[in-house]
Amino acid sequence: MSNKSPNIDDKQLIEELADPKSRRAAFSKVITLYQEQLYWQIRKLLINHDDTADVLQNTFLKAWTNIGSFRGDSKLSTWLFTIAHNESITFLTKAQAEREMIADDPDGYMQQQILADKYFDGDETQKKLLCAIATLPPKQRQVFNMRYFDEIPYDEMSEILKTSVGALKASYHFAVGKITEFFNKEEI
Amino acid sequence: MEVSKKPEFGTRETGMFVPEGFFADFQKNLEQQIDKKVHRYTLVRRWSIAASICLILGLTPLFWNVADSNSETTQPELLSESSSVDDLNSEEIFTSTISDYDIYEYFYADL
Repeated sequence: MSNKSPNIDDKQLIEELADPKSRRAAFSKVITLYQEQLYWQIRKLLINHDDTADVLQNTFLKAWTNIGSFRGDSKLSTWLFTIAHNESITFLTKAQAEREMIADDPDGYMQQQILADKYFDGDETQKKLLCAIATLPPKQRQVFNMRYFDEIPYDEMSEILKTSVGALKASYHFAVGKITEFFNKEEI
Repeated sequence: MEVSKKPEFGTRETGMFVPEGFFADFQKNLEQQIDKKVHRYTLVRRWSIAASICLILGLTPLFWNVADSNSETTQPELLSESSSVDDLNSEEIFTSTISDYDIYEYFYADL
C-alpha cells in the first residue's frame, strides 16, 4: 500500500466525502483509485476471482454505508483496507464452516482452488508458494501476503489489522517457517 | 525507509491475473447499486417528511378544539346539544346561564 498507493490528495478527498453534496462524486473517485489495490488484497486471501469480486463489492458497499462516520482520523486507504480485511475474514470463516459440514478434506479446498484457477498463469514455484500460503490460518495468511507481496511496513500493517507490531512480526516469522517446511516436504 | 529484501521464495509475483475489462465493468455495476441505494434513501426521507407534516397538520385541530372547549362562549352550544331531547322552550336555555339545579328543578317540578 505504501509504495503502491495512488498519488492523490487524501485530505481533499476526505473533505469532499464529508460534505453530503459532493459525497457521491467523491466516492466514485474512491472506487476508481482503490478498487485494484483492494481487489489484489482480497484475491491473495481468497484465491478465487469470483469470490473476490463479491467481497470487493461488499467492501465498497459497506464503505459507502459508513462513509458518514469516517472522521479522517486514519488514512482513507487504511480505513478501506481494514473493511476489506474484515469482509475477507468473514467470508473465509463462513465458507470454511460450510465446507466442514460437507467436505471430507476441507483444508485441501484452497489448494484445489489454486490448481483449478483459470485466472492463473504463473510458474510452478508460484503455484507451490500459493499452495503453501493456503495452508496458513487466514489472519496469518493476510500478514504474510501484506509483508511478502506488498512489502507493507509493520506500523502501517498494525493500523490496518489492529494488531501490535510485535505480534505481526512473530506471525510473519512463523508463516515463513511453515512455508519453508512446506517447500522442503514437497522436495522430498 | 525499509529496503526491499530479496524474496525468500524466489518471487514477489503471485502468478494470478484479473480478467480483461473486469475493473471497468465492476465499477459500472457498483455505481448503479449505490445510485439505487441513494434513490431509495431519498424516497424514504421525502415520505417521512411528508408523513410528519401530515401528522402535525392532523393533530393541530385537535389541540385547538381542546383549547377552545375551556372558554364560556361555547357553553350554550354544548348545552343545546345535550338538551335536544326535551320539548322545552330552547330559546330560554340558549340565552341564559342555567345551573344543573335549575334543570333538575324544572324536570321534577310536577313530582
